[in-house]
Amino acid sequence: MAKQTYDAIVIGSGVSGGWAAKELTEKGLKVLMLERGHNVVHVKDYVNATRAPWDNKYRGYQPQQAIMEAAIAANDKSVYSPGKFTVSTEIKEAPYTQTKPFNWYRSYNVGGKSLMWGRQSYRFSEMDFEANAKEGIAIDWPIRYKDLAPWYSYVEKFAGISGNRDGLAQLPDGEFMPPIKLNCVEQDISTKMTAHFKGKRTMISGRTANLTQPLGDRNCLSRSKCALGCPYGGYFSTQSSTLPAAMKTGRLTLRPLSIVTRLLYDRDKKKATGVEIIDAENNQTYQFYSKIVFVCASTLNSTWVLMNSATDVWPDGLGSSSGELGYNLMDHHLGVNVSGLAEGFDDKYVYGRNPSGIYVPRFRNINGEKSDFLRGYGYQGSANRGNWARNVAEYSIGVDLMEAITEPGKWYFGMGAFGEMLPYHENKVTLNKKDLDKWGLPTLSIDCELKENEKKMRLDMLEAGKEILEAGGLKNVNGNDPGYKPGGAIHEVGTARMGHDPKTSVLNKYNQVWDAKNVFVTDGSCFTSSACQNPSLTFMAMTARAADFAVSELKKQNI
Amino acid sequence: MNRREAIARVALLLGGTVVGGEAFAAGFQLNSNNQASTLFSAEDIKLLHEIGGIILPGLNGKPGAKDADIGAFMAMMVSDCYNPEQQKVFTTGLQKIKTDFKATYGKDFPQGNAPDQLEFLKKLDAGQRATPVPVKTGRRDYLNTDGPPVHYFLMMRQLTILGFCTSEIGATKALRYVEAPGRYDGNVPYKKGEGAWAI
Repeated sequence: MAKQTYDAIVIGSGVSGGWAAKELTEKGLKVLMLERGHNVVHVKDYVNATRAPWDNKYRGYQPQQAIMEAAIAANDKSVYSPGKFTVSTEIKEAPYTQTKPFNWYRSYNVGGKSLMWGRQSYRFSEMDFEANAKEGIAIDWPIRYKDLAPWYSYVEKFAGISGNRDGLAQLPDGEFMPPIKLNCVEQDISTKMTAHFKGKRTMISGRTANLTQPLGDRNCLSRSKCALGCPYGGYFSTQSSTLPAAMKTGRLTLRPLSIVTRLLYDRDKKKATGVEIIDAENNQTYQFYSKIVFVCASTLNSTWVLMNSATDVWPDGLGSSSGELGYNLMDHHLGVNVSGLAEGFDDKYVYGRNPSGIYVPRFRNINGEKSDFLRGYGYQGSANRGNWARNVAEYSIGVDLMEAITEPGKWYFGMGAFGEMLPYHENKVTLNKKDLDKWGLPTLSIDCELKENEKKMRLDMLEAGKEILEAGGLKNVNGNDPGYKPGGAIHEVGTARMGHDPKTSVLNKYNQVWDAKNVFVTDGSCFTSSACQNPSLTFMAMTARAADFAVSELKKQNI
Repeated sequence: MNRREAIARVALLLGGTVVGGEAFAAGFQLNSNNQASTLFSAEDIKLLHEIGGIILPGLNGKPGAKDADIGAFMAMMVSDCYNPEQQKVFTTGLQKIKTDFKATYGKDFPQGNAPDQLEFLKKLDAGQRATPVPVKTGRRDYLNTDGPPVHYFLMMRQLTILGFCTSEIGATKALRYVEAPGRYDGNVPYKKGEGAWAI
């Protein structure tokens, strides 16, 4: 086979990979985007997205395993579960070892997790970038808010983020479409809570990557079936947004079913020369060559690729010279939730289905408020009137039950916390060379746990949450902590962190691997700390910024 | 994510589980190659149909569970989605209804008087309420399709509500359903009788 050469190779097709492909092709580069999973074609493959409830035989429930497996064997794509576009066998063929309990959610298909994300889109703030340095935790971020702010604006305008400009220092405003307004109960709680806490705690509209105005041929119709894929492009995904833009340039080649095994490295030039893959269909190995490589395979898989690119120069993997590759794994810790009953709104209801909800921005350890832990957390949730699926145990059967389920129920409000996890060196991943996957490749061992700071924070999440709901006028306020396993937020970040110094970090301030300047890692693995905001918007901004830098360096022939 | 999961957990706290729009609309469309169930006879399915119709009767000119072919739906769900242990509890319970009703009223259930049928099933419902239901932390399902079996009449009640409210006639005629609302307004006036949204 002739040598296949591109200007750039992008590994991964999710939020970050999609942005890398878009930016690099639009800047004139010929790009190959590699994806280990199968293709998912926009609209055509959203097999459940336009079905009415009654079109689904099991009404959302799963048939027994044998029926399910028969359908999978028959390649019946309709058995994909709602939030998953991945056939379960693909995940079965990708095992990992949990040294401590860890839920590793993956989405092995074109679009990655961009197809099924929660779409909450928040900027990190200056205080997030400064925190490590101020507190002497881990290492300092090599960038500040001002470095990323223009790139946040850039990606927000293209992706379409709706939200209110709330003027909060801990949650900078962006380039927003109009917000999805709070419903009557949420607004009432918000007003009462702002007054009670004198503005130090607030409840705002969730900032979400769902459109509130048409954007090109995309629009959100408030169906709230986002997790099934949106035929209207109502929310940002690779398929709805970045992939069409990259394809339009005529310079993108997308290659699904391509399992990247390693980066090819030229020890004399200290650069990567390309990428090696195994074709998941024919098991053949192929090599592709390029001037630059963007590693956007998702946090843990990007780190796996670097680790598996070991050479005799770098026996622990490309980017391992600092000894930090694979360390400092973080997630957001969630699960603590609170709820209450809202009275006095029986004459109010909703029209349409809200794809977002409320957000309570961080209020701990800012505005002069101290606590017995570092950093903070936010809450996400919503107020809803019960429908037929609520517990109607108060009515037996017959006419009473029919009357009850055909009327809306009471209004309830509930919210759950998302907390910052500190970057602990010992929370790590390592290559497991004993347990190989079906391709004969090493697997990951994941070793991650919450520590004292997070445990203290969880107690506070519960108490402060109840305090907020009581201040908001809710009745029967209660809450609990059903526990949390790392990975559960699907916000895993770290393991190839950015830094000022090649001795203590894997990447420099432009996401270049210190040991191979033409390799850029721009997904969550680059994070130096986690903040408590949902991370995807930062993946987008970081990727767009790095792509801009990479092309300018290429032009200057610096890489 | 994992906002959805967090909210699902919140829903659990609200004194009952709530089926979210996303789970509700999720598809497992396996119409082909399904063998007819061997768990239920035609007579069983007819009996389930009668029971479902009593649990959710038509009201004020609006459809009830019978209009949603509820007997066949219950039989299909039990056959395809329940585990063998749950199936056994369900089918044993159904047989018990037959024998107990006849022993009490001297007639087969379908031939019984409507007030007797209702009274009999209300007693069963009271019985299932007295049986504690194990709740798994974080579960969002409306039906108990995993874990240990619950009381057979709870299964029948749940299946009837699920089957009716997610059927086309139930969702659009007894409830309100709009596929693509186009906008969200969280502050709309409501008067009793206007009806709840299906989702």
